[in-house]
Amino acid sequence: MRILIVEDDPDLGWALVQRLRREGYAVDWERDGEAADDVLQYQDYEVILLDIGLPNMDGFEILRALRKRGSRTPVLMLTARSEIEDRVGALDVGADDYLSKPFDLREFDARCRALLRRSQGLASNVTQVGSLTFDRAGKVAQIGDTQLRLPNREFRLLEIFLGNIGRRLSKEQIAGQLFDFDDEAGPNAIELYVGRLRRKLERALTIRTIRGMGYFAEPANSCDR
Amino acid sequence: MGLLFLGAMIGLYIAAGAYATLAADRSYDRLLFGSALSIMDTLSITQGRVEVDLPYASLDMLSAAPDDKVFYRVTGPAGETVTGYPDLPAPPERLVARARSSPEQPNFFDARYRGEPVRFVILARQIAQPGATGWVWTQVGQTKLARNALARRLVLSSLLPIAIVTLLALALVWLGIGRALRPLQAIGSEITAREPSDLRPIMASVPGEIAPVIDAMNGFMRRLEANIDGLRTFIADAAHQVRTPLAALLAQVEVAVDSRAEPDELRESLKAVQRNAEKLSRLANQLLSDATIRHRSDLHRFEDFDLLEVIRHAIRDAVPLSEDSDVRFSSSLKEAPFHGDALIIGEVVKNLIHNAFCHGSLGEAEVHISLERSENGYILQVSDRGPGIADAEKNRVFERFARGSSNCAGTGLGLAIVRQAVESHQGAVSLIDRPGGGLTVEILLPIAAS
Repeated sequence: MRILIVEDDPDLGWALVQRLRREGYAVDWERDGEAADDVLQYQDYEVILLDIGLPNMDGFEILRALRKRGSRTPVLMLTARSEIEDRVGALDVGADDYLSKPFDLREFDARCRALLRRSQGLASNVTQVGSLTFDRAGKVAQIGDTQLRLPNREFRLLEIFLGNIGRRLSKEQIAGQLFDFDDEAGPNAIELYVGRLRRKLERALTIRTIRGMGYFAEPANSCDR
Repeated sequence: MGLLFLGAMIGLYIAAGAYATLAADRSYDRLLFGSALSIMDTLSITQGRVEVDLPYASLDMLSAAPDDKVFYRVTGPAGETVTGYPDLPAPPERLVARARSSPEQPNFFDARYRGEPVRFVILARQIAQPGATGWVWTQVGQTKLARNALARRLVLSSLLPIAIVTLLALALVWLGIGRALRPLQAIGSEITAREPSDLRPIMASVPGEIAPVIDAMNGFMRRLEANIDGLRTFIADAAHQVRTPLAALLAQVEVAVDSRAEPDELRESLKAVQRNAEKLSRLANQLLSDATIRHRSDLHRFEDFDLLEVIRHAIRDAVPLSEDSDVRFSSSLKEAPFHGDALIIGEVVKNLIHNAFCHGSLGEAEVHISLERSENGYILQVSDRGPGIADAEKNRVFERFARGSSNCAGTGLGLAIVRQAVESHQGAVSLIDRPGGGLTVEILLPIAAS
């Protein structure tokens, strides 16, 4: 899941980037309103965290432009204002949620997760596919009673597949959601991660490779040999 | 008002009483005169003897007052009593003389007779007959009961209608004022019923005389509302300014406390915490300083002090203890007596020093402060070697929380405070570009002609 943070305060921005990257998310960080607007025009994100007070173009303008382009990416607005008019204004312009500073990072995490679920059309943090139980909040994946040992990247890769069961995903699409601008992942990185994940998931989830087209995940058929 | 009215009533009563007495006297005196005259007219001289034929009708005239007693006496030229009460009190000498000089004219006097106050009239007639020449005197007297009664009646009858009309007038005035002032009561209860924050103008219609008061009140409420709005905006802005560094602080702490933190990340987080804590502390100080100055500016706590002392003190307080900072203070004056608010001037200098540091590069700021005399006061200059301020921005930076184009760690309050403080001393502040780069803040402080 790739997240864009638009926040001009260097210390707050960095703390949020750290927090999310440690969770395994791919995170891009823009400090300038106009730069953020530019990036949003060519890069898709699963969630956008948007501050209101920004140099050159404020959060409301960026959001308006985003919605005008038809983007339905969930947006969480962060702001120092807490007047009710500002909340209503933000939600009406097209934000999906609103968090006023200062906030507890645990609440921040939970609201991000909620928006990420929304971007996948999911209702709860726990997804069940066959014998695979995937818990976003607890950061646990288990098959039956056995807990899978998944490093951050693989966890997020699984999350991407679980959000697209039965749909073809190209390497570029996966890379776009798994890596951010600061990652120096080579072209084979996706193959590597998919390979590792495939082996661990065999019993519950089958990840097929469609040569030249990408990957395809579906629940493992017990009758399948 | 009541006392005045009472005094007027008493005066009126006295005046009316005097008039009534006069009128009563006139009436009864006339009767007395009439009867004395009628007695005198019956005067005849028979064989050298004075004789009068007492006309009982004349005394009847006086019987109109049934409770009063009548006394009379006719005196012949030799002083002998012709008829009447011989022991009637004698008239005063001057009256006798007057009666003689204008005979047939009545003269009145008061005296006590038989224990009662009596009003007497004397009438003199000169006779010149063989055997009888000289003056004949007729004296008639009457007690004053009826006369006094008449006087009292007159007073009452004149005062009573006046009193009634006055009371009516008072009642009408009272009613009229009550009616006119009822809107005031209504306004009073309207205002009392209002919320403390409700400062809308009073819309009720009032009589013309009260209008100036209502206008003044509305004007006052408008000013109060503007004041409160300014305060509200200030508080909102200040709260806003506090939130972001606070959020950064909290977020950095949580990230640092995270068990996944690497040692070097930890160090960075702690530095960020320190930065933001300092920022918040500076902001708190600025806000306090601003509030202090606003409050004190209104109080005008002026006293005599030495500007040099205050500036030196402020420098000591403001300059951080890093050896990299370079703050120089120069002045050709040995002393700088000034009448103003020492605390405020100190705050101004501190704010300017903070600003100068902020614009300078990272704690290595070169700040130069100078104090010199001008024609009518002092010139205080605080200069830095920072990036300066563009001409277009020079006015804007005086606004509260105005973001300068430089990414200054300052709070945006400094110059607003400075201007307010300087203006409360009738001074002026201006920004001057420094040759060779940097900015000079120049403050003119006039010495009040005291």
